[in-house]
Amino acid sequence: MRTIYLILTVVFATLMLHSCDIIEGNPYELGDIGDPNDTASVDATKRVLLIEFTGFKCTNCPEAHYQINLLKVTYGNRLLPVAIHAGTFARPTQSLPYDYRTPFGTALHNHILPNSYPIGLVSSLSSSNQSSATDWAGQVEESLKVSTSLTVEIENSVVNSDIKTNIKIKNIKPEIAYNDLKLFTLLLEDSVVGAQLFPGGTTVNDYVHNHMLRHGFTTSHLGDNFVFNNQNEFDTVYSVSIDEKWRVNKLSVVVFVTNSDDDVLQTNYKNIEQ
Amino acid sequence: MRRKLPTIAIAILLSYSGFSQEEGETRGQFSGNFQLDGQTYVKDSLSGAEEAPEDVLINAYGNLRYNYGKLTAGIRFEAYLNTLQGISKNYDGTGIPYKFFNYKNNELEFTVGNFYEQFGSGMALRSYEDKTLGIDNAFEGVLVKHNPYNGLYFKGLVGKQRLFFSQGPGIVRGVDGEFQLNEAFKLDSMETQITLGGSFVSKYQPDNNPLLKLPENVALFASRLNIQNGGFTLTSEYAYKVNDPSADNQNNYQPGQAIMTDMSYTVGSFGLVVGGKWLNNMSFRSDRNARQNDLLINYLPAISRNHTYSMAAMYPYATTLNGEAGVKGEIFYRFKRNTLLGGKYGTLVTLSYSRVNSIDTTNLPMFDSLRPHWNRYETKFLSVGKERYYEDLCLEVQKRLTSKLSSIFTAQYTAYNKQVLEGKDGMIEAFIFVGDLSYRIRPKHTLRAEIQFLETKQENGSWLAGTLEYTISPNWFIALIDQYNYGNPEGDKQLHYYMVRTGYTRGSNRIQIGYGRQSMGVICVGGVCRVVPASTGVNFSISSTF
Repeated sequence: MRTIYLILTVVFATLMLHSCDIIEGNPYELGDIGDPNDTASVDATKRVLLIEFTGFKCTNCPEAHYQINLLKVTYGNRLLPVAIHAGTFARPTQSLPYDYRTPFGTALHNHILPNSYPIGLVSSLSSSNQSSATDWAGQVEESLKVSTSLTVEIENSVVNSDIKTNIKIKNIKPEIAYNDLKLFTLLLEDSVVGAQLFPGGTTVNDYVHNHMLRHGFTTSHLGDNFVFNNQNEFDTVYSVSIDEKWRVNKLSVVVFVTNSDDDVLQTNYKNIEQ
Repeated sequence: MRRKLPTIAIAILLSYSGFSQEEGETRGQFSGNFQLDGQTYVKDSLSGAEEAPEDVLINAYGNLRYNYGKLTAGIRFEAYLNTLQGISKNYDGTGIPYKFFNYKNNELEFTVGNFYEQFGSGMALRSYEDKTLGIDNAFEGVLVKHNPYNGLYFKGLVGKQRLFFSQGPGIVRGVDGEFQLNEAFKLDSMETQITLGGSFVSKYQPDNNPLLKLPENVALFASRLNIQNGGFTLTSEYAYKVNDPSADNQNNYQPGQAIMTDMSYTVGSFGLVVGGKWLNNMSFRSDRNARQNDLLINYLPAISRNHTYSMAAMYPYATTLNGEAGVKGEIFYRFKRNTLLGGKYGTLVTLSYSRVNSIDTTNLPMFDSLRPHWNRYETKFLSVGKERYYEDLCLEVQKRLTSKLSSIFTAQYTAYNKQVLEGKDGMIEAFIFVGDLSYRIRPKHTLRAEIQFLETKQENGSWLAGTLEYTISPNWFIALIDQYNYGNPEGDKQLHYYMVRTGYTRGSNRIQIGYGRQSMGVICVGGVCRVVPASTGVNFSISSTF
């Protein structure tokens, strides 16, 4: 009997020894998902929102920025990242007086309560869906497979020193009913040059921050409720005075729509200057 | 489904117990325990404590175990309504996350359901729970233990790990063998005892990353040795892990390695412990995207000394899973009674030292403008880097001064690289002094006074702390505690963190209640840590065993 047990143990151990995959050489694979530069704003092409909570003192955040750059190479404008600088790692210090925080970003940060930094939310505004940078690629891929019947059109204009943004949300399949829809409208700035800490505490003073949240047009960090009219459309307008720190040619508006489960159903963007 | 199976298990247990009573004979035994921890939270803008919308938060659990001959079964109910601050809110809710059935005869033992297990020192595999840290990585699956010959022990398991009230996505498979030479060759009378062991653990998780080719099966091998001879003990374990890109190592594909060796020697009043540890890229989780303390398969203990006094433990060290090199040493000597240094009652002197550095690495060039090299850096086995992560030198003297008065005095130096370990605030150097006096007023009545001083110029500055505790054994105690952060560079944060606490113990039941303000900090158990947020309010706990 003992011998049988021993043989079974050896057989099991041998099978286990095969449970090992070794990847040789370059592991990078760039996927093919069609035209990544499709920016048409009137069809229901699904786009994915990736909110990243970050901070210039967060030494692990540059790694997350790498991940976002990689994802942008593959998914182009079907992926819309938003970098929210908030929390401990975004607080300025005497030696590093950079402050990229916004009232909207801080309110959303305090609502989500990130478990760690960097942390992200892919197509979601639910705190329980927080995920690490290495998980984003898989989540973006899955999220792109979820179809939507919502379209988001954005028209921006600059009048005097104000940015005005006209937004139209449309449900192109009226047979699909939506309840408790909320609208979020954000102003982002790319290529903001400033400090960023790296592992070991090294400070890079000319780091390029992208997709940085500059302003939340929406009244609340929990979004503005809306309902469709008889034509299954909803129109609204937001505006904001241009802050002297912002560079208009680097600004864009990102709009997204959530449901009662805090799922992001659709998102789109448009640069302020075309 | 989460609730259905445990309900059936309870019904079976209770019906079996009922049957036993009808038969009028004892056919099994129930045992278990209960623990409840609660706290109220009020906003304290000075300390940064946040209020809880629920006003009161409670963590509670109860274990019930039934043993009948070779059969054991048990369940644990847990309630987090809602979870105490500092523990992950993902626990919010109730459930029965732990239920098992175990059968054991002379040769074979098997467990189905949930179980905890450890291979060797844990470097290959360790599942355990620690409510203080909010850790529970129990397996749900099957565990088999087999003892085919004297001195030869095998274990095999397959399962998924607990993640709050569900399981992680990865499947873990493991086998472990241990060979006790003295038992196998009937050399029990020999003074030298030798044990050899080896482990193999593999995890499976699908590759759902469209940008990277990820290994779906990741294996870890480990071997170990234990030699004991009288007061001498040598323990050593080496582990090797194949490519395991993960959130912890930022998708680093290079293999991981670790070695840990401890040697201790005690003779008479003298004791010596020395040890060393070197590891590179040894985070091993059943979800490559998990962070913090979630879904850890292996366990890498800290090499630094565990301090019990609050100021001495202000800057505790947590193992750096991505790489560290450390050494430790501890020497103690008990001066005998009626000697110059021993005095009338003897004196115990302990000197300990530990230091942890980075490993020596050379960064590899970027693969292209967007992608880093998949191996990130190169390193040599046992290489030591220049960056200091942690250092700790501690001298402790324990001495009974009179028949009623005993004392402990501690002097300590700690260097804590907060920049590397927590990502902010640079290097912290602190000097800590502790005096602890216990006076037995009369039988069963003891008064303990403790004074602690922490001096540092970094972070929150210096602290002065005092404790006065009165104990009436074995039932009552009351304690007054104040920690004063008088050196905080921000004047309005030079606060008193006061606490009053009392407890009553009777038999196997204990109740404790306290009120006060707690500063933000980090608590660690065995090199695994969690952040404790600042809080103000009433805290209470009830525990019982049966």
